[in-house]
Amino acid sequence: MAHHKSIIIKKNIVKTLILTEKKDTDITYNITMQKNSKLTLINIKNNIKSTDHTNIILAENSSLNCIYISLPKETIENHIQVDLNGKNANCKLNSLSIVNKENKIINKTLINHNFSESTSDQLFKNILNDHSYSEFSGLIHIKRHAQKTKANQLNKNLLLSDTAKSIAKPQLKIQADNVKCAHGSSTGQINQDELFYLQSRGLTIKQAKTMLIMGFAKEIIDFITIKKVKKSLEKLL
Amino acid sequence: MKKQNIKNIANQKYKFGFKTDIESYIFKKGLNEKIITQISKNKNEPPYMLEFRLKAFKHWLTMPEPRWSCTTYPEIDFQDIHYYSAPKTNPKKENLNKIDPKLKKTYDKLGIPLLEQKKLEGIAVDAIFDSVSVATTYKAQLMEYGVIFCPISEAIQKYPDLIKKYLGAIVPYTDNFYAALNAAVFTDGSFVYIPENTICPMDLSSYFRINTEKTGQFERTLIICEKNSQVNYLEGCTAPKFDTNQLHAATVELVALDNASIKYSTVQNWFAGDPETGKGGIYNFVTKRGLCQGKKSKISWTQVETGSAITWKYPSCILKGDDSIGEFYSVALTNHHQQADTGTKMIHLGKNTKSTIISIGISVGKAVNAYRGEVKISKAATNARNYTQCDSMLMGDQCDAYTFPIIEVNNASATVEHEATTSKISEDQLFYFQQRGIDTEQAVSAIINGFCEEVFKKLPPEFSVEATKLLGLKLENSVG
Amino acid sequence: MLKIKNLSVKTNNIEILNNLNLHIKAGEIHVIMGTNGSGKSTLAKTIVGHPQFKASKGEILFEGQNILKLAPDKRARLGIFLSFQYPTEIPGVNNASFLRMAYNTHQKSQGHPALDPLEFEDLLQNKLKIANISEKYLDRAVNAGFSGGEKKKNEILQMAVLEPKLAILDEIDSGLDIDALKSVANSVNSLKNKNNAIILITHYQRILNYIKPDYVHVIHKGQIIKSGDKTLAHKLEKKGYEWLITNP
Repeated sequence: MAHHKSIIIKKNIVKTLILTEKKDTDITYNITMQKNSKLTLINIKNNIKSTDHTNIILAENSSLNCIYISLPKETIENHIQVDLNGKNANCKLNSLSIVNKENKIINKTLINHNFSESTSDQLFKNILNDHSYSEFSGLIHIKRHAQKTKANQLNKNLLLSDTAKSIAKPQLKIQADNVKCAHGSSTGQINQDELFYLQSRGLTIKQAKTMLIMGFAKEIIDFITIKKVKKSLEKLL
Repeated sequence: MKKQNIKNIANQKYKFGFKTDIESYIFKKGLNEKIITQISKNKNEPPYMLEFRLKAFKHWLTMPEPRWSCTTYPEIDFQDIHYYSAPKTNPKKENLNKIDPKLKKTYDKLGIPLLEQKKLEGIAVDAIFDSVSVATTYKAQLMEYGVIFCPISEAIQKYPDLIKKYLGAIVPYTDNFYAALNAAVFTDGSFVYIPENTICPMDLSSYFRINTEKTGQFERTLIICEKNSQVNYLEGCTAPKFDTNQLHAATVELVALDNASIKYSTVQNWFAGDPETGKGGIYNFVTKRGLCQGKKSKISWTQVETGSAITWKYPSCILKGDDSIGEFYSVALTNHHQQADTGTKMIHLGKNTKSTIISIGISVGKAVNAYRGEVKISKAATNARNYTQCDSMLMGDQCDAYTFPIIEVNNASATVEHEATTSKISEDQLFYFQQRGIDTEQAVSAIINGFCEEVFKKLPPEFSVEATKLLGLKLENSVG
Repeated sequence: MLKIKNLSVKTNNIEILNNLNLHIKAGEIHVIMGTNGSGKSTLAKTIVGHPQFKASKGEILFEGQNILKLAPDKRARLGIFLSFQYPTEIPGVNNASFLRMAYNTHQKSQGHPALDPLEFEDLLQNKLKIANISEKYLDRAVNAGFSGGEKKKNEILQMAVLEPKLAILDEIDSGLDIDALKSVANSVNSLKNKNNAIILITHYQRILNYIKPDYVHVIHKGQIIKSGDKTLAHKLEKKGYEWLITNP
């Protein structure tokens, strides 16, 4: 059953939330960030099934830093909506999903730039093995008069198996002319030149592959600055 | 650029907005089996074609009018359209010198002389006026090389085997609403057949002109390129200014066999509607698709979209042959009340297939410009590659730019990259021009041309010059 | 040729130029020196009409005409040229076409006929030599991917083509190695004649080993605090700006 959780980050408050679910989830989070507040949200889902909705509203000068780590059992769906409602509001969404067997990861984001001079940055990385499936669907909507917005969105998929499948829908809706906005998506396998380079230095193919995959994952893990969490994650992977 | 620098007045002149005063044979408005039978009869079609049309019509009746694009327009009353209009004087003249002087004058004015002695050097032209082809130049000369270039209505009678094999094979009438409508009521368009081991000795082009008010033009074009052959095909379009909208629903099919290469270029300059009110203009709802059937075949689409009130068009490639290549280079400029929803599909089926998409959207005034694209790498498409780049530029704070790509990868050996950016003309760039004595309007035009350079250089030289001029004209007075 | 009278310029409500006066006659070379933020570049940009810098007071007369209300392209066509400190990159716009477009607007405003690409190419050959820049840069996009030195040489090429009456060279020497510096200085010297004038904006005395100025001005807090001949530049080099600011 879905249930709702409402969280308010008050003016000038700096907060870190670490959500590590042990059971399957179906939760809607409604988070309101007041002026000058800061929130780091770390969401780790390991070996569970989940469909979560996270709606976050940011006021002036507030700053959101989200990190999603997903290792699905069956399917994990993360629906994230961010409304940037004030000047200098900024959000970062970073996500790493490692998917194997016939499991699925679905990440859907909607970033509404409702006010001028806000920024958003998204980086969604998926590592796919076996028969797994990933879907990234992200929309950046820069509303009329939300001038001087900066928005970036990047989706990278690393395919380790011929039977894995990935779908990317990086979307932009731009209604203001003085903005900087870019998105990108790349999908491919392990870079053969890099692999060869490592092998030529004496690494076995397995070692070399592991190293390159870890390298791909590290970019996201490095966003986590809490040592304990980071360590346990590295262990997990 | 500064807000006060951008004005929306732009009473720019559409040079081709004149109407030819010619007596035409026009069907009464409406669409039903009787009308379709009459179209088929007028074209002297063999029974198989009428059958094809009626099947398509029956299917069309079951389909809802699609509304998923980023465009807004009132419901189209398909019974309020003339489905056939042809100049009365024209049964088509094989001797070009006997063509109706009024038609001749029309094409002279459009810059496409049709008379034997004056016709364009090195480019064969098929001139289509409302529902009929009125002239095709260099036909006999091309035939010496085995190249068939004729109106599709003629090909239906003369080359039934090729038509039966390929017409509707790439875009079946079940594909979409407008493809079904087109299959039921298409009137004319061009047919091109390049035999094996032949490089077409000159560029081929079709020129579409809609003259009669409230008339739909349902163009059908089919290009077949046999093994080891090549062709360059150019398409141009204009229409008079009317307060009412006209519908141009075309279907274009291309087939390239082993090692064959088709380059299809369009410079679209339909009447875009009144700049102030947005009234009138062409609804351009087009299905264009190429099949790279053979190994190492190549299909390349280049389009410069500046006209039309509404454009809805996705020239696509199905890369079936191993090592085949698909390309899409597009510039879409929308100004005033224009709306464009355009892009491409690249469907990778064969091994080592490659595709490139370069899409440039420029949105000015109150216009909407959307890129919609799909890149699909199927399971069997080992080592497929795609590179996509979408750049949009917005001028003014009342216009919209959208980017909606879908990237589906089913094979791990694929490399697929998509990049999109949004930019504006920087004040620094503008000032740099001005400091060298160049006024704002010229500077904007030059910067935008520079922005489009990557696509323009893919156009044949004469088209490239036209495209540059056209952009300048379209942007005139949009900067104060 | 150029008379600046009591010029004050504000941007974002901060006064950058404050009652500045400067007279320049044809045939002269004036050097303007000063620390970062002293107002050197603002002066240059105000003369050429950059939209961010508006005069709040005073006037700039060019050949007797107050130019403050003229659009930047009009000022350029009167014969005022700025070599930018950071030349703007313009992707996709061919350098040779850009030069011709600029040249032809000047031709047109003087009632002369425009040159077609072939005629213009003849004209360019000599200009390329003056600017000491390779022909290959003509086929590239304006300044796009040029090195610092190439950008500066390209500015000089434009100056050679447009033959301005007044050329303002904003830190034409910054970021250049010694060979490029000599080359740029030589080009400037060969473009100099008794009918035109040059304002050279710089931090360093170095370029003055190659270009001989008639006057040296030191600007501080938006005012010219000292003017002299080239010996002033030598003194500054030895003693630093601090010396002048504390003992004007």
